[in-house]
Amino acid sequence: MTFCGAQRKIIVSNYILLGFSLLFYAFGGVKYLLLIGAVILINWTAGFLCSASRHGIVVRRIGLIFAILCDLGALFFFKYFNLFIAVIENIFFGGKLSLGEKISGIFSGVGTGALGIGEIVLPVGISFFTFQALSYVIDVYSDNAEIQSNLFYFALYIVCFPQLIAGPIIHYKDVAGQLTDRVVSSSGFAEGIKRFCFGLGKKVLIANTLAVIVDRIWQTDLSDLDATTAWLGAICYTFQIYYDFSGYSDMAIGLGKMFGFDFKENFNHPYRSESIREFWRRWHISLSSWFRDYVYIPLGGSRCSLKKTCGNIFLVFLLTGIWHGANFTFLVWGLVYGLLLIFERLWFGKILEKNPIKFFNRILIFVIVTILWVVFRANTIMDAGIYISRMFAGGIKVLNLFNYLSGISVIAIIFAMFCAGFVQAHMSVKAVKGNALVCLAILVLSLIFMVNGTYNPFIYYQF
Amino acid sequence: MNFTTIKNKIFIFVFLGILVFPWVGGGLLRLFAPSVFEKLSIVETEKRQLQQVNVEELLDTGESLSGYIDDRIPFRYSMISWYKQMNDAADEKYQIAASKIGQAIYQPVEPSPVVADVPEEVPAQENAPVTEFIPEIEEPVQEDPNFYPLAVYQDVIIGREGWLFLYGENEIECYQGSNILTDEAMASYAAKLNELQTICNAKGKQLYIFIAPNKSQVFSKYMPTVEIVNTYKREQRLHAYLTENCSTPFIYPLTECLGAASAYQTYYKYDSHWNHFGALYGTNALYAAMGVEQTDPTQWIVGTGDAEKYELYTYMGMTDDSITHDDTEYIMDYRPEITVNGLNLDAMVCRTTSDGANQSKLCLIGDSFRVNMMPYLSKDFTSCTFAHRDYMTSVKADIKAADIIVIEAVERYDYEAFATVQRAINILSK
Repeated sequence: MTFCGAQRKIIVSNYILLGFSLLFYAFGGVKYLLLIGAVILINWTAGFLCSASRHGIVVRRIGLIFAILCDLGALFFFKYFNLFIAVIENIFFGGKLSLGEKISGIFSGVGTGALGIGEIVLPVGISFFTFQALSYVIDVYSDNAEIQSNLFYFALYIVCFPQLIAGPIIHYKDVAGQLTDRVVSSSGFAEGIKRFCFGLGKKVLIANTLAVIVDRIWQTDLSDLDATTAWLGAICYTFQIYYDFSGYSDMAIGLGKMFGFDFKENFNHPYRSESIREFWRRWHISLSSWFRDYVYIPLGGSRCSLKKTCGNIFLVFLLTGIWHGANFTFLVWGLVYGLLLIFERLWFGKILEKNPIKFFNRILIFVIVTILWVVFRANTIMDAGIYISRMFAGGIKVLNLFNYLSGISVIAIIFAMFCAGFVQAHMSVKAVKGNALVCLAILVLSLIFMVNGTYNPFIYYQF
Repeated sequence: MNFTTIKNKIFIFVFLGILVFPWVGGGLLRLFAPSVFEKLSIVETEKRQLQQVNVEELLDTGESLSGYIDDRIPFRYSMISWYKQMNDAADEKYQIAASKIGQAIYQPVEPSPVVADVPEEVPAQENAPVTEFIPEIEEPVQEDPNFYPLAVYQDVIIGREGWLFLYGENEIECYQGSNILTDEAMASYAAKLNELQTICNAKGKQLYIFIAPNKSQVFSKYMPTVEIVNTYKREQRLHAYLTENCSTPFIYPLTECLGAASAYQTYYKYDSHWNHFGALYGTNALYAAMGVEQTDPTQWIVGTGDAEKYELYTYMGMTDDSITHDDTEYIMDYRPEITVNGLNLDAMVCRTTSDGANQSKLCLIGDSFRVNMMPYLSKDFTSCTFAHRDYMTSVKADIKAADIIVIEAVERYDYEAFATVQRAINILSK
């Protein structure tokens, strides 16, 4: 086999990329390389078993079930085992705990320690790479993609460092061709840098600054919160999670571009949504489309009875909640979205559609999303309940806002509001995004903020 | 090669340069001008060991490696300083705007009494020891009519007239009264204390619990405007509860400190501790409980000098050469006729002997607030052991041999006093 110059460059760059990706992953703990290695090997092997051109339906099904069991088994073990043990301990080994304490223990995921089982540490990015691996096996099984016979290329698909930690979840069929054939150019590289800088700025300058306010509010006694502060915390978290997550996605997409990959967008100004349905088309698009392609549509999607469609929606959002973490808060967060979507499909969506002033729809959806982020952010369901109750019954104390704000945080809030989609509808930001000097300024500022974040004086006061 | 390609390549070059230059430039500087490198990179105010790579842990986590790199970022000090300058500039504008907005809607609350309201049901301390030489407070502390927004930088509150206070470590919660203890928590403290008191009674030892008031409680007039959730605060409740349910003297000299603060500066302006003068008022409160002779702190003043404690600035990342030394304190020459041997204020465990008036062996286990009390106690007791609570294992024999045990903690770490009580139980039970 002979390769032309461009192909040889891709092959070499793939191996370099794979090596650095594994090195990058090792930063989270060298032993987890074994886990990700096992996921790669199992799914690569399962891919061969699932290939329609090689095996009959029985073998293919065995391959698919094998891969699903292994991937979801690993995901559940590392992500949910601690919660599972906490529930078991509270129910069966609660000892002298009262019923209230047991329920509290279950909902906060705190066990009694009666079983003496050590805590399982969650490997970095496991939710993302297991879903990517499943995407490959399912795509091959469904005949939507060819098997990847080169183990190293398959490994690169799973561990490619830009999206390894926080997504976006790349569907195999979307990048299969790019693994062997892509163009690395100076214009693509420069475009990637710009995207990366904007992502870094979103994460470091805005999300991290807002996180200081949010964390301080959540650290207080929630039952003493006034409504003004509670709303400040909720709104800041709404922006924080968007800038944090979309910032990561921007960085991943930008880094991908630098290496010639073209990853799909993961966010599309979700806070401009005029309905919950639209919100989920704009928020964490790669996860929504994963569940749509691999769960919702195979179950029949919306091409079945209304009752079954509603059931499918409910199931997808139940899974979405579970995927986000081992806490009942995520479960409730997902279920409420499921119910809201059903509610919207059955009745409320028509009202939203008929409303001539779409701005009100946006405000309404933003408020709903903000309240549900409180559930997402809370440590326990009880905390979420207390916090939300304070948002509506905590009393207005405007002066308390000053306890949480600072010069830089006010600037961050202003930028957050302007850049989160409220204004983009009416102005073009392409000119700003394309400006190299703006990007470099964001990069330098982000570096300064990041280095300042490493400042860690010796805490002497308790001595 | 067209213009766009050239532009892109320059852009890529500059981007990579920004990422690579600090490491290459820093490396060269380190080789050829190490003093310049250190000046630009080493953060003096981080009084800690730089992170080392823990090879054994790398299998589980790369945190030590990340920390190792973070601590050695070239030009780190310069970048932290730049951040601080940006932050200060933004905060300056913010403070002006926030003060104006806040002032427009702020309504000062009614003047509060010196010691915050105590409910009637709380028993009065009929047998409370008398602390002498406290200046009379003519008027209650007035709420400042001017709104002053809370500004926090690196866990430090920038208060009125430049006074600095801790924000974290429970200080603001104590100040706002938002961290009151439940009855169950207080009952568990009381049970522990009673257990230790019983042991001490059996062994013929005296036991005292001493809680030093937080700076923000004493110099609240310099605190920013923040809502006080409960005026009857955690330590006052705990004091009332333990006084009622335990026989152990529980000393929380807020009244004494407030009285002293109405006439003198008893805490450092830029540090969270009481100064030498303030510590003598605290020591007097302890003496009152012990029945030891008290003296007027003002009689030992022999002059004034630089306070030499600016550590909240350090906490904020400001080096010593970048701050103005404008805090002073009284220089105390307490009982100069008494000779003390072995006094070392920096030591975590310090044993002293003296020709002081009290022949009892005193053992004080506490935190940093103990340090400024040591010069007085060591002169009034012939044999003293002072130990930080983390070093209790080194003073087991001293605790067992002591006639008087004092367990001290600052208000924001009051729970540590009860952890110390538990450790003392363990030691004395063996």
